[in-house]
Amino acid sequence: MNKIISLLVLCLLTTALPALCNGHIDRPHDWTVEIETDKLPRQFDYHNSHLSDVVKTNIDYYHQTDDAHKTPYEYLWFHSSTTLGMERLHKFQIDQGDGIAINIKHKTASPDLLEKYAAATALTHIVLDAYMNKNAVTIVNVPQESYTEIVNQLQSTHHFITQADAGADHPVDSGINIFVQSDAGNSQTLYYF
Amino acid sequence: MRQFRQRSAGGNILVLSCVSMAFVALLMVLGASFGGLAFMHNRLQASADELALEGARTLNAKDRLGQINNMIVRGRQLVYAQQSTRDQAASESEAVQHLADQLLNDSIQNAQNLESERQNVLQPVCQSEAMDAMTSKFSELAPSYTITLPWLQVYGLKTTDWRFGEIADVQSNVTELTGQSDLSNQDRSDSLLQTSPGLNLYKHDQNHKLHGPLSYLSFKLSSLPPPINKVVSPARVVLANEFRPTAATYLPSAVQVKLHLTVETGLGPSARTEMVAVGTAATPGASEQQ
Repeated sequence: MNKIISLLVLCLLTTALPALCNGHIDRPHDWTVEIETDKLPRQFDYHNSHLSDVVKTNIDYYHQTDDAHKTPYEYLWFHSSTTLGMERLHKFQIDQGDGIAINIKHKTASPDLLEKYAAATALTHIVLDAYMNKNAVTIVNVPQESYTEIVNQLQSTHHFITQADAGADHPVDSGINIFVQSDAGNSQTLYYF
Repeated sequence: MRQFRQRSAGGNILVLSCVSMAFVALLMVLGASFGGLAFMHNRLQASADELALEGARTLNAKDRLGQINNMIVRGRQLVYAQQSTRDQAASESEAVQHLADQLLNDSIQNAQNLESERQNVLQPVCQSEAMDAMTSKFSELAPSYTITLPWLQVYGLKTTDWRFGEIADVQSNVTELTGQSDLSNQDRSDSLLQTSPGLNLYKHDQNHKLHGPLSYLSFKLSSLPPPINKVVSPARVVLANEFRPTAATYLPSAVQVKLHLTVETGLGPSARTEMVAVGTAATPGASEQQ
């Protein structure tokens, strides 16, 4: 009798458990935060303006199991890499402890340098918000054409790149790590702060 | 006897006709003079309104007043959010505190830059461009005013007053940002919002300072009509008594112009007077925040 019960439990574990996981095992994150940049050429367009060339970023998040329902989180406006303003739309209601992937997108096919700087600064805001909410940012996906400028901007704003020659086990004293990867997958950098 | 009566009656009719015609001619001249005066006054008022409208349109060209108001409120929310994050990060590692400090300092610097842009760049640019537009329009209008007729002379169009201000009881164009409920509640308890009718708007001509250590930062909002259901209010002529001067450090959203014109009658007793017309106009309202 015991053997039959054990056999039934084993069958249950081998067949039903993978179905319950529903693909979660192969995803290292539970939530995705999307940052989309858009240039606003008509903002502050006047003589002697110090604020022209504004870029707006729309930031949404959604759960991996429900990507049809995005929650608008906030808008951020930038001039160069300076954040001009914020409009918070919703609380950062991601469950504590869940992993997050951040995807950066541009509204236009050929984003300019200011959009890439804005994306890098918006990324820093979200990484800090995620940390304060006890969420790990497992990966940051960046468009291939923006990769170099975004990682350079991160470095220029006190994010430190891990030394490649330090070896995999080299200890690093950091509070926040960001693993940035191009969407084509051929460029990757790990930053710590 | 019959002959005398007939001759006398004929002379009377001629004299009466002449007197009547002279009287009618006099009335016509007087009518034309008064009609001309009324016409000139209407035209002067229309010109004053046109000048004020030109200035008002230029003041808020490309919605620059609305955009700065919108961004000041969003810059304020950014400072508040970064201050809250910095407070939360106080118990975190040094690296995290450093990042929170950096973002807070950037937001403070940005708030100061916005205030500097509003006061030192936008205000002079708006007013000087509006003055240029009105002066140019005045130069077009002035020559067309000189009229010399036997019974009427019009000359000497001049302006004595160009004033920048705002329209009474028009709040700022910025609707309440509700995403940070604690800040929103604080603003309501500080009566920084006009909550009726319909729209919840941040009050105009007030410095919307934050509480606490960052209360030294200025967030000054000017009066400007908000968009209603995405419809932008056009520039419009308003009654002169609705005009209010703006406090020195706030951006204007209305213009008032005073025009003077000398009118002189030429026939009969000479009379000379100076017509005055005051034109007042409000800028176009703000668009929605992009």
